[in-house]
Amino acid sequence: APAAVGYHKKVVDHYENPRNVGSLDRNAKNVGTGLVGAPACGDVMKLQVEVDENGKIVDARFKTFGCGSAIASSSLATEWVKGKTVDEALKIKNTDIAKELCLPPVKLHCSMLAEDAIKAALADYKLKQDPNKESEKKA
Amino acid sequence: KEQYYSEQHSSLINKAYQTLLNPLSRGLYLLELSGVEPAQETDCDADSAFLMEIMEINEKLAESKNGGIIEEIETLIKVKQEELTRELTAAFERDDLQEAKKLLGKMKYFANLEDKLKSKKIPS
Repeated sequence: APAAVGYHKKVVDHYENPRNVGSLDRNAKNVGTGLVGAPACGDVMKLQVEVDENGKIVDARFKTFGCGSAIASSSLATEWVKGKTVDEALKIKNTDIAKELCLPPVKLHCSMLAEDAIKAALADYKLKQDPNKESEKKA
Repeated sequence: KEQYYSEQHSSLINKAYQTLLNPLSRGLYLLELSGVEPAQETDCDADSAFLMEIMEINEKLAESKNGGIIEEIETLIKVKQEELTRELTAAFERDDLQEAKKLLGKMKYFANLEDKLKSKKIPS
């Protein structure tokens, strides 16, 4: 494991006790999957959300391969989206994540990656709900 | 004073050598010399097939317990890196810097996998 020296204790906490690691069924209609990467550092992040019939996010999972800050950012993201509506979750900003985890400037891009992952997951969910696009996909 | 000067030079030469030895760092340096910044933006939808592949290899490596699987993954990573290096060489040769930039981004993911694999091989 990478050295924990220099990581804020909040980041270490998420790293040692990650919440919501895992996967949801990407083929389920009410699951949105976001898969993003940061080419500058080679981190890759998958974030999935399960949305109920009222448009509320009832479950979220993540899998991240990268630095502690990236893992913590995506772990926090899954915690934050749960219970929010899709539109509310779209308002989550990387700056909020970075602030909560006390990320140093050099790790700010990790929180940006998490914000991008949330947006990608929600965009995927929305795309799946669109009946026109659904039939386009099947054709 | 001369010793200090020699040490500085020695360390610069080492740095230069290490940079040029590794295809990724060499490529990034060449890109920099050409005035193109390495990829900073998040990779997303356009590259989902590639990212899924990276995800799968990472998962496989994380779950791997026996040396056989680890060797398999090591070979896969090596093959992919060689392929990307060939494509990168071709891109630089035809002065396609945008393609070089994209390929260097892909190589970074494999470089990380290579590092993870090395730590996995070291007995704890």
